[in-house]
Amino acid sequence: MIKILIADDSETFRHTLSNDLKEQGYAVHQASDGQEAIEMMRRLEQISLIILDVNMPGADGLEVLETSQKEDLLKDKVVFMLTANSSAELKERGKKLGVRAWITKPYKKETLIMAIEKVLGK
Amino acid sequence: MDKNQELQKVINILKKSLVSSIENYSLLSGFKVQEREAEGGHFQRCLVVMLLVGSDVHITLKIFFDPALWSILISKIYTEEISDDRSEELVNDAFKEITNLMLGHLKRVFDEQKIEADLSLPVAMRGYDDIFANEIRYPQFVRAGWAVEYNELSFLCNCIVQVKDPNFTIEDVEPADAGIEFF
Repeated sequence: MIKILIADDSETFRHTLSNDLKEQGYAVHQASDGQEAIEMMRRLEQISLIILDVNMPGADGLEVLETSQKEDLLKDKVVFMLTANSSAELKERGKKLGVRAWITKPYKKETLIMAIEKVLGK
Repeated sequence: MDKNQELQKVINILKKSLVSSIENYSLLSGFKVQEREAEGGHFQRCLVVMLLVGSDVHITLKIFFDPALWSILISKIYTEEISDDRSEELVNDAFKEITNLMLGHLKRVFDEQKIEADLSLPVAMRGYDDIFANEIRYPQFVRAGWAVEYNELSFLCNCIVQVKDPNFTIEDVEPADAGIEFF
């Protein structure tokens, strides 16, 4: 089963997104802040996709990617940013850190699922 | 040019994004917006506060609500039974996300018009009345208040928009649908 890690500080948002992904047959792991996301990436094996929020307490989504790159935790993983923040500067930083897609909230569930299927080749 | 009219456009953008944000997030529909006094006490048990701040703009958005009444938001999102304490925590979380969506929408409008500003994290807290005293730092400012109603329920929004530049202008236009951008 394809594993997806979601990191977002909103519990209700994680719940909704997690349910949407489980309905599509994905196994979902959740982190409530950036630090927990890094710890889960160190610990969990075979994560295929990481969906990160930008604004989170602790480490923000882009800081998570910087740390993950240094520790070589992003190998064979696709990264999506899913955030209300659409700043061009942040997108540029994300692009340099290997982000494959930037999704601005609010988003359509079908659009997200299609994007995941596209990158994971489901 | 009427300065307040320009700042009022910022308020209008927030009001327009409010209903779509809450309906999209909560899966409920039928929210209505009513004008309210911008000043004075807001006797609700909790509030969420969030900022959108740049070198020339300072926007404070607060939403006042009673978590016990708004457990309907959570019952729509979660299917399992949730205790009252957990429900309050999750309602606070939901209002934080709605505030985040509203100011995120405004930031997209700003980005497209080259107005630089960054989002804070939303903060939820308990306490009756408006416990934040807002410092007015720029000469151009407007305060606005409005209630959002859903059947017999309501919550209150309060916003202060301050700008440094006396020639500040903004177009009240919908930002392009951001959707998904692949790199």
